[in-house]
Amino acid sequence: MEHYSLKINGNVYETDAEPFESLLDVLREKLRLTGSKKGCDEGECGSCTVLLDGKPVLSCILLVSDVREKEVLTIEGLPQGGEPHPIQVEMTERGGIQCGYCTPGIIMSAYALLQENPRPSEDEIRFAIAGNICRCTGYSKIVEALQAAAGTPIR
Amino acid sequence: MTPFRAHPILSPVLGLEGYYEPASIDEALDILRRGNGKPFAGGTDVIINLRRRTVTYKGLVNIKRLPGIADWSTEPGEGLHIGAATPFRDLESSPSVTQRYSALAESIRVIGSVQLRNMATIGGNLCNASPAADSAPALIVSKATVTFTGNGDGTRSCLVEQFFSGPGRSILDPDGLLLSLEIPEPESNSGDCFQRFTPRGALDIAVVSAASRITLDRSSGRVQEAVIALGAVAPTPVRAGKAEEVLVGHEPTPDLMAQAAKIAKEECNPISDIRGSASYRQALVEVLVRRTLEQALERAQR
Amino acid sequence: MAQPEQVTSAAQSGPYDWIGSSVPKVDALDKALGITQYVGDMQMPGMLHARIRWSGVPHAVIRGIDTSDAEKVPGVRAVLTAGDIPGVNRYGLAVQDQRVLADDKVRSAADPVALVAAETEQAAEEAINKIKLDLEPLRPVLSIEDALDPTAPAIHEGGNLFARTTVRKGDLDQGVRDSDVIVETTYRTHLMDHMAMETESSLAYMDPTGVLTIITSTQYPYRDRRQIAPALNLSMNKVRVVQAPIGGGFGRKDDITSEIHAGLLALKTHRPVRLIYTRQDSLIANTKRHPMLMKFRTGARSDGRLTFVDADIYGDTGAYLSLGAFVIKKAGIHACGPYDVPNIRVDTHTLYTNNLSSGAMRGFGVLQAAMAHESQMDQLAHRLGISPIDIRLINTLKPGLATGTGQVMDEGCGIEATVLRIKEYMESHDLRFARS
Repeated sequence: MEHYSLKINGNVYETDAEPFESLLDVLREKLRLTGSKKGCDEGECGSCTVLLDGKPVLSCILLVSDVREKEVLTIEGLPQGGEPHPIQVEMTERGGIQCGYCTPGIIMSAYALLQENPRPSEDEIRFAIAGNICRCTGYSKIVEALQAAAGTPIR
Repeated sequence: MTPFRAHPILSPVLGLEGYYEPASIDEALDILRRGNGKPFAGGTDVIINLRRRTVTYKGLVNIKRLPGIADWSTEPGEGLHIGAATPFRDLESSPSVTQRYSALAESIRVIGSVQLRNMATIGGNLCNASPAADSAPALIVSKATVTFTGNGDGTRSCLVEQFFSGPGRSILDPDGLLLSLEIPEPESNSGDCFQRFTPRGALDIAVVSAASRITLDRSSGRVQEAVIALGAVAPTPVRAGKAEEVLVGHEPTPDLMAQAAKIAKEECNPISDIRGSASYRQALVEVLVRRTLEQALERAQR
Repeated sequence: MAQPEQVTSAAQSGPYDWIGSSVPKVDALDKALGITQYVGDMQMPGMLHARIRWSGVPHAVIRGIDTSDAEKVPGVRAVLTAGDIPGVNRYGLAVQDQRVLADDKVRSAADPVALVAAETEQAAEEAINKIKLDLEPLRPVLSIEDALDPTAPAIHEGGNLFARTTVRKGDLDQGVRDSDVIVETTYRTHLMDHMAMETESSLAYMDPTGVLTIITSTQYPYRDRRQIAPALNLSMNKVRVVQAPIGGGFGRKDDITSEIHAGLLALKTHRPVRLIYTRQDSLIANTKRHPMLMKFRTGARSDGRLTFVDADIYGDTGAYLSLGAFVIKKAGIHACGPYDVPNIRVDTHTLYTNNLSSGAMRGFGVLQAAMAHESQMDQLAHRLGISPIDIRLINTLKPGLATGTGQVMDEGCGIEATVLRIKEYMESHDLRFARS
């Protein structure tokens, strides 16, 4: 075991872990930040998406040792001042959420997109969330919610 | 924070006995030479295969923090230097890459997903040596070379098309390390294009992929050089040499490109598997070669 | 610029006001915030982690299971096989043809053979890989054709044909005589996974009053309890099944998945036990959409009016029935689609094979039938030179007409209006069929 001080959502978390454990397992099982989901555990579904130094990555295949000296942002870190982020609000109100299991990953991918491109086109939204699989919605309502969150016109 | 260098594992997990994070190339080579492990960077193949237990490794050697291994640079007229552990997304996000290296950029955009490309590295894609590796056909037509260390001292270089030796195999020794890629500056009278066929747009593996590059003779407008590379139709990414030959020295008419595409279809010898039958793959080769040639020509004429 | 659509507030009052309005789901914000607790998000003090060893071969006699190496893995607290089951080693939604753990033989590659509970997931994983199975392979039945072969071995005592259903209407011979054109085609559909984003998962523990509590990702807690209690030899009031938020089901969480296994391990270890299927577990071990082989003969008069449907539908339910007989029966009931057919002969055949089991999935057999009957309609349209839209309009069920099983349509029958809308849309957008 190694000792890690991890910077997550602006806080420092102390934990022991094997260096090759996934960030996802450390988040969920050791730090009890369970918002990031485990869907496939092999980098295919996007449910575990978190931001590493501002970039969306797959925490299920990211080793915890690669997170040293970096900033992690998870779904739990998105609300500001106790208020849900606009993406979280629009996803809720526009039917972008059914079973909810892919939702945190979708929101993190969308958040990363809006950070670098505040007014994305529909194509840019679909490209950015192509790595997040949803089996319930058929994606249309998700795309509409993200367009609303970005303040861009909805088809 | 001092990065630890070697980490013995007392109770083996996933069959691993050690985890290493070398701080210098020499140290990495020393660990590898002693037969201690598998180098990895993004981990998007190595870690998954390890967890699926399709492979076993004595140890893991994380090379991501080696100095310079994830650096890349480009200057107009100077070509493109890419450290082996450069994540695809870094290249994809740079206009200086996407505007000059069309086929490479097109191949990168379809790899996995945005999240995956923030992790997966170009060197890892080559070392994994999948016949369907998306970046390979584009790198071949770009005449990219790879630089790596071998059994002996010093480094060696070869063209990307000479790097693969079979499915999952390359000429890289088990204790060798891929260090960097060099891509020459494309000539202004050339154009290239990459396309692949997959049932899904993202998170999928090519049924067939193709990249083409056409260089035109400046005075006559005829084809001076043609390079066509195919993925997922052979044990390694391959060139379609006969198809290239019929183009050279001729005016690049739609008919001639269609003829070259037909020859590419005939000269490749794919297998049938879960992603497609041999005959379906051959039909795809014809379509993708024709389309990439047409697009490459348009770009060469610009 | 298009306006964002109106998001309806909860201020409405009339009884029908909700119809057609978009209402935020009550649990959606929690999901958006990532605070919803699915089973995999839960932990309990002293909790063990469980894994399942699957058989890996489709058909075999079990000669022996050696768990000694698995028991030696540090952190392992229990390794269980069929002999450890306190109750009846049988369960199933419709018939009890499934074993909690395989005993006499293995009927599919996804038969659970042994369970492990350990202090860590890694230890449980190491242990299941150290269980040695001594299996004597039997001839496997791997297709519908295999299952129909009279020389094929019987997978269960009753043979490989589990059930046959029939639909009869009118006079088939008369229908054939009335036909100007007849099309005959065999269709096949393949096995398909629901691929719910959350895999099957349960957390089982003994509560302070001695009630075995199983928090699980399920579609039917009461049906689960009915199957859990006998297997664990507990009376029904000593089993409590709690339905957790479910990360997608689509039918696959109709059946027992992880519930009995987690409960059994909790009973044996006196510790809370969490069992979460890996994606691979989920892919091999849970029910799928039924592969079907459908032989269709359909006739029509030169004016496009259907004269008869004559069909045999064979469904591969895999090694266990689950809801297979009902799914496959439903394919037969819907074999004529939303069309008025005067003469009908449809038989369905529910077959056991050694393939992965199929069960409920969105559409429940109707999709497979639709693939066949709609392809037949297209072929008839082509042969008769009628547009694919018009041949459907000529034959759609309307209020007052009955289906093949005698259900009389009322005002809720919307197929004609639906097809007309498609026709209008195609005309207004200048869309044409490639072949008509």
